[in-house]
Amino acid sequence: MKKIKVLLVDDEKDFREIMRPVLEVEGWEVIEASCGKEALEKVKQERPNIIILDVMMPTLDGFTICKELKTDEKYKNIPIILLTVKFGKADHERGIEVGADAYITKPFETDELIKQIKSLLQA
Amino acid sequence: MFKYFLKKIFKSRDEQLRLLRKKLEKEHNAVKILENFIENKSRDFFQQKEKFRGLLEAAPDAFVIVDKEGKIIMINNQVEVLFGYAREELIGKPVEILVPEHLRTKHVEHRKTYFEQPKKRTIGIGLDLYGVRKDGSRFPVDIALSPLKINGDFIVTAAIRDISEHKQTEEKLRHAAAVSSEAAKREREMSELKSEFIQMTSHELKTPLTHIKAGVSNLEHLKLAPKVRKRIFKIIDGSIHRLSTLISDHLDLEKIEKGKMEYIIKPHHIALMIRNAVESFHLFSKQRGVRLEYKISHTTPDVLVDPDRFNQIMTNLLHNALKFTPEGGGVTVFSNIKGDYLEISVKDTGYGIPKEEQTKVFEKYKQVKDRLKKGQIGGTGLGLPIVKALVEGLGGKMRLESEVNKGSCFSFTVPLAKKQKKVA
Ligand SMILES: Nc1ncnc2c1ncn2[C@@H]1O[C@H](COP(=O)(O)OP(=O)(O)O)[C@@H](O)[C@H]1O
Ligand SMILES: [Mg+2]
Repeated sequence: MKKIKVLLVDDEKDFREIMRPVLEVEGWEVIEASCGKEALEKVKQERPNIIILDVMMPTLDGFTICKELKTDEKYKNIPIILLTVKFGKADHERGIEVGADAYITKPFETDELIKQIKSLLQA
Repeated sequence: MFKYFLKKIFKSRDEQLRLLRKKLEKEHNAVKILENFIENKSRDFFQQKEKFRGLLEAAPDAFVIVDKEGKIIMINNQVEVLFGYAREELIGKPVEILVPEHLRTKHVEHRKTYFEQPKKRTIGIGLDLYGVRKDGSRFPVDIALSPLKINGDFIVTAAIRDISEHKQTEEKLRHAAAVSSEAAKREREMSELKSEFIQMTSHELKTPLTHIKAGVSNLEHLKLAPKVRKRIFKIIDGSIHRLSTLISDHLDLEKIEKGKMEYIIKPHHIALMIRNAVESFHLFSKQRGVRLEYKISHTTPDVLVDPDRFNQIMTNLLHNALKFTPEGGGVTVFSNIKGDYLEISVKDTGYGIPKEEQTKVFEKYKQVKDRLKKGQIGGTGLGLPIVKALVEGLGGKMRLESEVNKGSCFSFTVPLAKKQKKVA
C-alpha cells in the first residue's frame, strides 16, 4: 500500500519541525513547503493526499492558495485544512468561501488535527 | 427699518435663526394681508395704490409686480436695496433686467407659460436661481410667485429673497459634512490599523504558543529519537524566549509611550559599556558567522546616560545588525564627537533597507517585506521603535543610513558629560 502524503505548508520552520513527528507517527509521509509558491509547486510534483495550510504567510497567503487549488479541476479534490491564529467569523467565512474542507485555529491540540485529517482522508 | 434687517450681518447662528423666523412670520402676514386685500376685491387697483404700497414696503422680501407683458409695474424698497437700481430705472422695464443674461430668453418663455396657467408657487427650490444687480454681480435667490387677477387681467407678484447667507450656511454644512466624513474615514483607518495591531500581536503571541503547546504534547506522547527530542526542547525554549521578549517589549514600549519610563542618568564610561554590550553577542556572532568588532577608544569622554537603557539600545541594534547580515559579513561599532554629543554607530554589511522603508522600520510592527523569505529569525517589529524612543528619552537623536545589499548604519547621539570646548 502506498504511503499517504501530507503536505505541510507554514512559513515557520519551527512549526514544521514540531509537526513532522506528530504526522509521521501515524505512518504518513510528510512533505514541507515554506511559502505559497513552493506549496503550489509541491502540490504538482508530489500530488499529496491532504494539505495542511497556514493562512498567515508573507507574499501568497493561505486563502489565496486554497482558492487557487480549489478552482483547479486537477487539484480540487485534495482536502485542505486551513490553520490560522486569526479568530472571528469573517475569517471562518472566508475559509469556507475559498473552499477549505476544515478550519483549525492555532494553538490547537495535536489530537484535534490528527482526527480532522483522518476523517477527511476517509471521506 | 427693513433695510436694516436686510443689511444686517448676523453675528451668531441663534440670532440669525431668530431673525429669520421673525422675517418669515412678517412675510407670511404680508402675504395674508395681500390676499385679503385682493379678496376684498378693490374695484380699482390703482386707487388703492398707496395702501398697497404700504403693505409691500412692510414685507421683508423684495417684491416685484409684473404685468402680463412682463413689464415691471411696481416694486418695493427692498428691490432697490437688493438689486441696486433706483425705482425709476425699473418701472416699465421687462422683468428680465433682473435675470442673468444667459437666462433671459428662457425666462421670457417661462413667464409666458406661467401666465397661461397662473398658480401660486415657489420657484428656485432645489434649483440654482440667481438675481443680477445693476453692477452686474449675481446673487442666489429664492422666488415665490403669486398671480393676482385685476380687472380680468393677471398680474404677478414675485417675492424674491437673497439666499447668499443661506447658501453660505449650506456651503459650510457641506464642508462640515466633508470634514466629518474625512474624520470618519480616518477613524475607520485607525480602527483598521488597530485591528491590524491586534492581529499582528495575536499572530506573534500565538505562533510561539502553538509551538510550545505542540512541542510539549510531542514530548509527552511520542517516542522520539534523542536528536528530535533535543530539537523540540530547543524550539520550545526559543518560543518561550520569543514570547517573553514580545511581552517585555510591549510593556517597555507602553511605558515609554506613556512617559512612565524612568531614567537614572549619570556620567558613564562609554568604552566600557560598549565592550560589555558587544561581548554579550560574542556567541551569537560566532553562530551567525558574522565578524563583530568595536572601535571605541578608552579616552572617549564620558556620556550622560541611564546604563540599563543604553544597554537596551545597544542590544537591539547589535541583534538586528547580526540578524540581518549574511554569513561572512561584519558588524562594527564606533563613535564620533558631535558638538556636545557623542554619536555611536552600529554598522553592518548586511541586506540593507530600501529607501522607502527607512522611516517605516521605526514604526511599531513594521518589518521589511520579503525578509521572512530569506528564512530570517522572526522578531516582533518592536525593537527599533523602542530604540528610537529610548534614544529620545535620553536626549539624543536617531539616524539611519542604509543601502540595499550593501549594509546599514544605525547611529544615535547621547549627551556628553562635560561640554566640549568649541573649536573656532
Ligand atoms: N541592521 C539592519 N539591517 C537590515 N534591516 C534591518 C536592520 N535592523 C532592522 N532592520 C529591519 O527593520 C525591521 C524592524 O526592526 P525591529 O524593530 O528591530 O524589529 P524585528 O527585529 O523584531 O524585526 C526588521 O524586521 C528589519 O526588516
Ligand atoms: Mg529587532
